[in-house]
Amino acid sequence: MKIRINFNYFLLSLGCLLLLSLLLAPHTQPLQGAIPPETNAKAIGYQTEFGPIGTGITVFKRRVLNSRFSSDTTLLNKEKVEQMIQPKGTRRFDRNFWLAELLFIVLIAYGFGRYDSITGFIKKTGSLKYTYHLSARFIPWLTAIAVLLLLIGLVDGLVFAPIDAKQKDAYRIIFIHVPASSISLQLYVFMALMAAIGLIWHIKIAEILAAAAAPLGAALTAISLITGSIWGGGTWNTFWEWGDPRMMSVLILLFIYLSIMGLNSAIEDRRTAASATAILTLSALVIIPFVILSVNYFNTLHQAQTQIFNKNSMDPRMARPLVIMIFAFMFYTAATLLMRVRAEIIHSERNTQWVSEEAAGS
Amino acid sequence: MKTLIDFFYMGGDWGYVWSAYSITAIFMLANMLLPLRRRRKLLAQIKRKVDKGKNRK
Repeated sequence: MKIRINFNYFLLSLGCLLLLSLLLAPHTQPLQGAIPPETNAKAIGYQTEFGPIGTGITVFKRRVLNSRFSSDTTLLNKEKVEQMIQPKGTRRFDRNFWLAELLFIVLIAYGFGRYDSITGFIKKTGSLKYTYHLSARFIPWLTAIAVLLLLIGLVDGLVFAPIDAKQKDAYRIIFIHVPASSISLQLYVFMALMAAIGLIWHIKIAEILAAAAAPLGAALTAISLITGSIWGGGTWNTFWEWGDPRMMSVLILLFIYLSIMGLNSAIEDRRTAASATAILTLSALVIIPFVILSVNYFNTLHQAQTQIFNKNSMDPRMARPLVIMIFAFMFYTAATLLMRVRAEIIHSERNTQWVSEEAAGS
Repeated sequence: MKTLIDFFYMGGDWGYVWSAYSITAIFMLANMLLPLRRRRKLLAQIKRKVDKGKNRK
């Protein structure tokens, strides 16, 4: 069985995307005048009006916000204000940070692809064997760094970081919620790149990496959703709101991860499974910008993305453990990804000589 | 001792903070242990298969 890409589907999905973006595009009003002290999303012109969906969101938001933090300026609303009035320099720095990270992911993906194609050209099965042994050498180091960073980040975040003015100690969930969410999105981009490389050049290690990333991403998304829900229960007085763009888009991301896992395990032949999964992964990539931008373009309960390097947006004593935790989660993800890759390599190479030798030696 | 109790009490938010952290810990540990177990199981399976093939010869 062979899967062929029909470019009509790409055109069709592109058209659907365009239509969706036209339907959902919010007409954000520009900033007007000085910002009053009792600022909220509405006061600074962040109100969006776009048909029945938007009205529904506005209504539930008013209802929920009235419950606990209605009239006061809290971290939730202040964030959005700070983001709009912050100096230009910090914003550029933040953007560069994310761009650099994206470049980092692209470089890693490219390196993996090149590496496999060079060695694979010489000896086709050799590269998987080499990756298997090479990753065994990497995993202890990655795990050690992850554990070390986790310990430092946890102590710094739970003990030394000051309490939030409004949320008190409940905000400390940020030190796991934000890294998990951030890595779940980055891992999806990584997975999509791997899927594309596997689909175009039929490179085995890329296919294996894509297959190994899905369950890990699902777990991270689940962590993000659960911790976010608990945090919301403490500060918004609601654990879950159906219809909130951020919560819904992350829930859809979880379902996408789960469906990728399901599709991958449903097809017996590994190469066919990889192709089918790659197409699903690439077409579902749409959700990533939607998740990221949902807090900026829609009227959601969720606060806008915290500007980690902006002192007005976040206390440096809170930002430091957060950055440490993000890196800790990165190393943890790399370590567990390689663990999964090792298991996957054994599975896909189970009929080869070297795996038999490996099994006999274990 | 009192500071330790204060630390775990989290200003009254202990239920939210510690439940979130413990659930995350469980997920992360499971994520590390499951692939290790899977690889060990696969290797054991392959070993059994190889041994069977040798006995037949």
